[in-house]
Amino acid sequence: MTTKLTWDEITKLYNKEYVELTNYDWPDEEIHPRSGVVRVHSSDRAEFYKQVGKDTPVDSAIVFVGKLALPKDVIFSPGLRRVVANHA
Amino acid sequence: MREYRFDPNEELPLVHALLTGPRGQVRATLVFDSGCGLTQVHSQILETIGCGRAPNSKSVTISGVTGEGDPAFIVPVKSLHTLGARFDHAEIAGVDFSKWAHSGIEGLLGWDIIRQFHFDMDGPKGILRVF
Repeated sequence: MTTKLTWDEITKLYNKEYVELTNYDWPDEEIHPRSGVVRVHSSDRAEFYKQVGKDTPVDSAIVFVGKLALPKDVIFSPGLRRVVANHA
Repeated sequence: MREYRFDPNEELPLVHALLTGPRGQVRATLVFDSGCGLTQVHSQILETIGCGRAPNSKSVTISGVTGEGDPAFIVPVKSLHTLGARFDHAEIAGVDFSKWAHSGIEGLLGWDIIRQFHFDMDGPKGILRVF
């Protein structure tokens, strides 16, 4: 696909999917990209990255379309993570 | 002063960052996470830009409040650009975020980067002001 889509169009077509955008327009200040060309998309992240790894462009954006999809009754708590050196 | 938007209705504040490596650059969504000591990015994104795990990569363990467990590696990227600032040769932890596959999160912008900003966060309005 080479058609440049607006973010509204992307959200309608690829809701709850991961998309890789090329030729994208994503101002630093904004939450979502304004537009882009969808090169790869999938609802399965492992499959998505498999496709992203093929003929990878030099400039792309990886976006999950839609709101965070946390499983019901799960509280996501990424904070308080530190890195500990491994000792031989 | 610059203003950045985040969705106040999301469970977590999200920002985006441009990661550049020898094979290219990827823009990805990260959690603005001052409780994370070192910025962490899904290892497959780092591979995409040519900064995947190498034989000489430093191996580390990610430790959290629920204990240690997640293996990771440290890799320098050419640059990390976020919130209007560029950090050359930033060291990033590459982590397999597969178990968060349904979260839509590709990494955590950690305190190592956040501490370098003077910022004001308006949660109800979803505005992050950087001075």
